[in-house]
Amino acid sequence: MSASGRDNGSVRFRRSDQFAFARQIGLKSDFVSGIAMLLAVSMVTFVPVIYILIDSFNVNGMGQSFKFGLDGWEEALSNVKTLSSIGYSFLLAIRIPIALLVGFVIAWLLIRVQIPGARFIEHILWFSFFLPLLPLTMGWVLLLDAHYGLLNAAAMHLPFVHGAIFSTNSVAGIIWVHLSLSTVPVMVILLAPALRRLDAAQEEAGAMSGAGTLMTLRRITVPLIAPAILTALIAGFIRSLELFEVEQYLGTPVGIMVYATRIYDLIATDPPLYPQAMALSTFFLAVLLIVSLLYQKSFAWFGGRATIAGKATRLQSRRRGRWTYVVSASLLLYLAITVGMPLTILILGSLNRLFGFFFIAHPWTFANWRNVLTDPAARQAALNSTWIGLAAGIIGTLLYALVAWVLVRTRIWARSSIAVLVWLPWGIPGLVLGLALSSIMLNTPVVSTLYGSSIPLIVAMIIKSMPIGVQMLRTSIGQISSEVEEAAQMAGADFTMIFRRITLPLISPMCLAIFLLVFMATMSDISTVVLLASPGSPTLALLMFQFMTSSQPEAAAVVGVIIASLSLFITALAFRIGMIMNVER
Amino acid sequence: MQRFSLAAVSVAFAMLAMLSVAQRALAQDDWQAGGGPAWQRTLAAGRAEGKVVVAVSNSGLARPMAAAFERATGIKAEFLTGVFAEIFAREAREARANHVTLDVIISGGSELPFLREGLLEPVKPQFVLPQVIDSKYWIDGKMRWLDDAHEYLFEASNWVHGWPLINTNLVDPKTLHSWKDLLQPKFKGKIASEDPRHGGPGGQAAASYLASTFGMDFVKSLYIGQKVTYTRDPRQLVEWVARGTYAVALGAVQGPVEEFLSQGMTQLDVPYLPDGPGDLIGGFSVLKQLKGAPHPNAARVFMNWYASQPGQEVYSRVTLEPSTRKDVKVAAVPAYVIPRPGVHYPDYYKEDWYMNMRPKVAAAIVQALGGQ
Repeated sequence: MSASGRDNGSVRFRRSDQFAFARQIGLKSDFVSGIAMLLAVSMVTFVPVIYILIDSFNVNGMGQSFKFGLDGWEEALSNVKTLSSIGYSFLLAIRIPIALLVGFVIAWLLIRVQIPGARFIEHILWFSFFLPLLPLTMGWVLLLDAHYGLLNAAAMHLPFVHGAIFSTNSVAGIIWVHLSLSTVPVMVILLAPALRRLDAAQEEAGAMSGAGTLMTLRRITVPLIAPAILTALIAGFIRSLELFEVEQYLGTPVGIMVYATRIYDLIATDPPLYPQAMALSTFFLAVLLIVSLLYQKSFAWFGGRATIAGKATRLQSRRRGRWTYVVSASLLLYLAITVGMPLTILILGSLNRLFGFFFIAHPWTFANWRNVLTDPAARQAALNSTWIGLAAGIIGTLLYALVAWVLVRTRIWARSSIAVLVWLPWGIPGLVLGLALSSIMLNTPVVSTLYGSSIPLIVAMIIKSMPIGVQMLRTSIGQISSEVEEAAQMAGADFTMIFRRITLPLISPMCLAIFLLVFMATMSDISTVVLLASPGSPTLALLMFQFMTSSQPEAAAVVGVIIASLSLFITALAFRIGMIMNVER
Repeated sequence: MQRFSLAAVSVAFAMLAMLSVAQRALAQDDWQAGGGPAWQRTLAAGRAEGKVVVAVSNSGLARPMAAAFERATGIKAEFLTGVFAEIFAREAREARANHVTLDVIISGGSELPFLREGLLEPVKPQFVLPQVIDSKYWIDGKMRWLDDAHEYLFEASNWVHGWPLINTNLVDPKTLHSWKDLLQPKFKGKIASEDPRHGGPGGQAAASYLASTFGMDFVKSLYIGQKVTYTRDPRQLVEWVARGTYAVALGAVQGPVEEFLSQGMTQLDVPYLPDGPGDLIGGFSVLKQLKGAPHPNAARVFMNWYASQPGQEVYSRVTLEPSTRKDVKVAAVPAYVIPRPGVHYPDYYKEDWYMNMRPKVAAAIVQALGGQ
């Protein structure tokens, strides 16, 4: 039995000409359509890269008159710290395969096995991914710090423990913080919609043929959702190279510097070393290009792994056994440790006179909450975040779906180039992307009038989330056989109606997931928007960042709890909408 | 008779108290006194512009300043805050693109190079209120300026920086007499610092002071020889010493120190070391303006308010930096940042130091401590 679709196995992937449909609905002029799409995607992804590339050769620095030189490149490529930071980046990326494995198992248990409390557990995972990373990292420090961590102190009471057993200021500590708060949850989030779109009959056929659970997983489930797994792996890897807040906070004291913190260092130094920072950013784009080309090859190799065809599809899952209750309890315990503990510390910290000092004379106060809640800037920030998040989430998801559909269903000219271009925003650290975008906006007539409004923030967040949005929707559309759309077309529906009535509803679980990802990215992103936000209207994340940088972690914790509450509400709402739309069943 | 006397004394006290409150309130309103019709026109034009946009490096200033300024003038103040490097990047790109959205900037002296590019607007001619321009209100009888022309970068504060912070549970302050005492083996691995390879009033300014006072070899012996641990978070630096994770901190600033002290962390102490009492800096108090400010009248009102007694009172209360105005005395400003009489402190907030010496010293420090 095999699911490769290239032999006579029990699972056959549809290899019909799925592009015929696109031709039928009018996308005949492949070249013109290709040029139009290439230009549109290049405009938002390639132009900032070009800007950064040019500036890497400008020895005068960003925004100043151009003077050609290779100083930035020479420095970037010969500096020992830069090389060390690249090494650490790859070392810390080891968390991605770990998270993928754990995330896949959890997602499979939640979706295909439907263990007791699956919805609740999935909800908590979404929630944990949306929690603000930096305040929760401070929570982990209070729990695991080698000198004063509460868990270390508790462990010291054990007879066989004579020193700190945990340390957050280490490679293992940084990996743990990421795994617990973001990497594992995001893997579940990315894999769950793909697992949901599996026809239960395919797994049942395996079971009927005598295959055990593991063999069914290995020979049927995993191959069927291989594109989604690959996307999650690559997206996770690239994204891991771009993150820097946790690494900066935990790594600096012990000399751990990663690629992104290195670039931030070069920009944050006084005077800023822009040419070197831009050269390093550009250099990393080469890594990204190689990875994305490999992805393209792999995606093409997987072909159209449709799991939903025109015939009736049953998405229900396996029946429960007693063991599922044990698994469910274990997962709840895991979440209590990885999410519950740092979140509790965050909430307690918001009520501390001094964040994390629980044993002083009068440790508790409501003053932090009172101050933040009565601050008009906080209310404005909540409104801004919601508006920008909704706009970026809705517009972004629709655009990603359109681009993904074009990439999967059409054969327009330069399709492969577009697919590679879509990855570019993740090859640039947020701050550098923000720098490039703001410079472009400031120096482009007409567009410059938008500078200072909320539109640049919406555009920036749409660009920033484009890689994950388009790639995951690609896999989702790839799971739907084109015969479904062809049937609608035969019934006389035009492209708009088919996209709106057939494609979008079928990929709505993934659309919902992508909307939430973009929305919450807007809620939590600091680096991309910090240079674009209007002074009078910060987002909640920027407000939290302001509190952090002005040594007010108690107030930052309050904003962190507000973001967490908002994310809980939005996640619950989205799940509710998902149920109403019946997209998860 | 006795009852009458008591009543009279009570009334007298009450009147004195009311007089004091009234005087204080009057002083708050008096900052505009003598402005004349020209000032009133500027104020009206500022109100018509609707708002002023201010960039500040010290994020804590935003809310109290916005509230106080709006109360005093009726003009809304919007603040851009955050990490200085990000604000600086924004200023530079906006100024060079001739698309300025910031009316006023309050930070350090990093904008001095903008002077040579002709990107700064003179500030001095915009100070028009008698209570601002009259020399009698200023320490040493004059306003302080970072630039040699005394027109572009107004320095509202001047304070002692570069002192060590210790945990007295781990270090007996009586045993510390000199900076060189920190080179003792017992301090190896026990010292933390704000990262000296980066700009700002924390780590690099402290290391620059030590390099200028004791030489680069001392800096190497201290930072590398004693295996100093770095952080970029000034709060974390003080927290480490308060918790006893490290015994000594270099490059700490008074805000977090005083916050921890106010919560009963009395184990924190700033010892006075006569061989290196510290240097004078203006911190993030330096006011300047880019050319092409979008709300020029509101900006002018803000600048005059900032340099006035109520403006400086807010600044000093939030930052715990002493003002260069004579009539601003904030009790919470700690003694260790106020220059001691008779002690010589080098002043590093000068154009020559900033433009010529500072980059060289900073580069030498970065090189000595392992390169950028």
